[in-house]
Amino acid sequence: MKGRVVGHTGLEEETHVARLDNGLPVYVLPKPGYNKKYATFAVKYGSIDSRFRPPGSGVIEVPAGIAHFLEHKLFEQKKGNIFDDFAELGASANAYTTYTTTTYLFSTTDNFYECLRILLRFVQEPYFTDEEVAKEKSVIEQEIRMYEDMPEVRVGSNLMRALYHDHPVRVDVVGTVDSIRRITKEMLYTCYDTFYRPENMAVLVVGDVDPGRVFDEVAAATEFGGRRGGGDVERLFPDEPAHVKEERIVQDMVVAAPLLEIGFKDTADAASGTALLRREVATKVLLEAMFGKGSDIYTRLYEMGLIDEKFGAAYESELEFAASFVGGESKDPDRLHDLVMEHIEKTKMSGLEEAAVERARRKLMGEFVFLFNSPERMAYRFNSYLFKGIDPFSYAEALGGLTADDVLTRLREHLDRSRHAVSIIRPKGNQ
Amino acid sequence: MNRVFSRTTLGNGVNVYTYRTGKFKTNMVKVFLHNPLTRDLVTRTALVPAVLKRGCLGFETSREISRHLDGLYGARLDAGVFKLGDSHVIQVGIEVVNPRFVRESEDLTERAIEFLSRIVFQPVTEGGAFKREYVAQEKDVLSREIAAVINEKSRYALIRCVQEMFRGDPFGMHELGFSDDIPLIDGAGLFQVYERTIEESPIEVCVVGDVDEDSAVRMVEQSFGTAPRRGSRVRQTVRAHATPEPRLVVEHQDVSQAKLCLGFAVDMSGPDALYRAMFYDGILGGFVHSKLFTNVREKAGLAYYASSLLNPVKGFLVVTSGIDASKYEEALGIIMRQAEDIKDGNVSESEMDFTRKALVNRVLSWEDSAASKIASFVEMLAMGCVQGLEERIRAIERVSRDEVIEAAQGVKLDTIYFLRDHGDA
Repeated sequence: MKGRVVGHTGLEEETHVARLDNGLPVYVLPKPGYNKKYATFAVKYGSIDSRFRPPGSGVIEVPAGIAHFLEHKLFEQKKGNIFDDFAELGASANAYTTYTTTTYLFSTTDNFYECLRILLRFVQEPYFTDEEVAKEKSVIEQEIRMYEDMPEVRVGSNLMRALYHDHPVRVDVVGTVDSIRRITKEMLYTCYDTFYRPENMAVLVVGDVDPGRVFDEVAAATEFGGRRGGGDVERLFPDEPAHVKEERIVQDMVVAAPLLEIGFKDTADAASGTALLRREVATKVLLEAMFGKGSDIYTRLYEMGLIDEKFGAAYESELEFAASFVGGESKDPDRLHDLVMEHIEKTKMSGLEEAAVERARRKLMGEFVFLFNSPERMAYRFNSYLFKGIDPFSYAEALGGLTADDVLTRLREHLDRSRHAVSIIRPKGNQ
Repeated sequence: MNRVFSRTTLGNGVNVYTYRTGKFKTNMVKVFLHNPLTRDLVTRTALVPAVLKRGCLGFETSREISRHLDGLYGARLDAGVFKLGDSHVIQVGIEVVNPRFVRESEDLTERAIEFLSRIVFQPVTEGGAFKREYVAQEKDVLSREIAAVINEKSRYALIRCVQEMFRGDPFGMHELGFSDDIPLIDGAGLFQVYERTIEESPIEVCVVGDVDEDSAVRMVEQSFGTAPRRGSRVRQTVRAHATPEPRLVVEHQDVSQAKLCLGFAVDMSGPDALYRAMFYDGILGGFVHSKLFTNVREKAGLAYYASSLLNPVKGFLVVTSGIDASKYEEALGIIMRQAEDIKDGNVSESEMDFTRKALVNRVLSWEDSAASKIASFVEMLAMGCVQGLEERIRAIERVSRDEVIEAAQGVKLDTIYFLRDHGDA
């Protein structure tokens, strides 16, 4: 089978795309000269999809953390663990779950097509038993406990609880010890049947492979037990208010110095992938220009001893929610918070320097090029963009087309005091 | 395929290693300066790269440096230290996009190398010392970094296990040094350590990317070849050896999950010891098909992670796992049984086969990242066995089951480190 070729001549990269008859899209990103071949089988189904209506059915609500639980369980097949099938071929397999996606993957330097067949097959063959589900609860409970001790995870997850009232994004991807205890094998099958469908998934391969053969192999190995079409599942989200739930959450932990993360809740009304990308690029340039290492405030805060090199800002953008995050470790998180907010208000008055915007644009352009060194990061980025309806290559054009006015508009509408919250981790006294 | 880095030794003893490849979008240059790892020097060596990255000739402030890097399309400058056997290595590197991909006509790589040499050789000074203000600020940052080691518990437990295992050996020290030393450091004393490092420490410069090797050497020579140097102080690593009786160290902290770490000394003497040790590590806990993941996580459901990590330069291996504190005995029993199993010859053909393939996959994958390629090369240099890719693969394929079992006899438990909550001991 031949796919459509989308190229990016400046980057000397291209994507081969095909959509199979059953609706499954397949993408191949050739990387000549690379030993490693990296393949993912991804589902547009993540931790926030916990309330939904399958076509022709009533509303179903499942416990938090079930998408991640399902990810763990798919590796367990009737005949045992699938890891060994990959190991036998010299490959290593893994998976990860985010708020919006579940991705199964392997990396190999040999036996690529055999590995690809195993990946495609095991994701299509759920096998859940009561006994195995019970055992997995203790493994995932240990995973949750591990995150509970990680201050950098806690500061972020507490912030999501502060920003959101009812949206499921306020619960960690892994769920809670209580929520995962409620998971049953029947629920796992329901979620699997609802979301693991060809039109809601994608196969992506990065590496020195033959795109035509990949398309043929995927077409021959993705029957999905005849499941296809039948209408779209309706994902149900609560009406989330624009303002935050709590302005401040503080937790005491065994850490050397306090951690601060400031969050700005964005409106979730992006109409299309293109609009979403334009907003993302404008926000990233804004954050880099305002808080990057080349900014005046960064130097000032560093020299005051209020931040270290890990201080930074990030923007997370999904169709269902979006937010900006600014922070790091600080001996005086309240003072740092004040100074950041003051900087935002001042910049709103004075406007951004043209040079700062230009610098940020150039840096982000470079970062985009860096991405293409790593098959893993390419796959991560492509999967995340493709499910949002964004052409990953259009990033460079969006960056080029951005005006200083777009960035300033973003500053005024997004970095809004009334939509911000802070999360602080404080060192526990007397350890 | 068996090509290794080409070496050129400059007149002043700096070794330049170049590797040309067109597969990356960026070019990477890394400088390594090898100081001895000693109690006296450790903290000051850690502080040197932190101060170097604060300012240099022409770019005297962090802001100027950052803006310069942004102008080079987000070139990445990194500076830090790590332990390589009994050496304490200062690493300063830069990665810059190949100008072709950003439609830039200027030679960004040449500019990046020139800039890197300024960072290394032309720091901002005042009266024969590092700038006082930068030293004061970086001392503060370093003391915060040392304190922050406690934050990430899995890493903290690993560091503590190594510290306990190597008490009385310089390797037991953390690469960032000691907070008690920091108040005693001043700009002049630190500058002396820096000058001595430049003059006497072995220096390696590695260049990977789409750069003609001759011109890469020329570029490096222009900026690195002029530094006056007298000889190199080379440090031989003393390999780990286990104490006769394993030692148990228990530490209490307010944690939700307990961490169990086991430090083993690994005999690295004899030919091909490296490859045998890699097999041992792979069969025990290096991969998801390994005994630890299979038995501790998949069969017993005791942990989310249980794995092993080999340090071939120093000659030891650490098993790390996160468990429920009440499951200490059970987890320790299962982990020790896996190690005993290998010793007793309980290694299946499929375990050998899976591990062989996984190790080949690992060394091949290193070729796909400039950073991994340089890191594994520098490690080979430190062990005195530089081999090309094909040679390494052949060495992996040669290792037999009997050799792994033989190697297992030279693996000895030294330290059990357990981090847990304040509940019953």
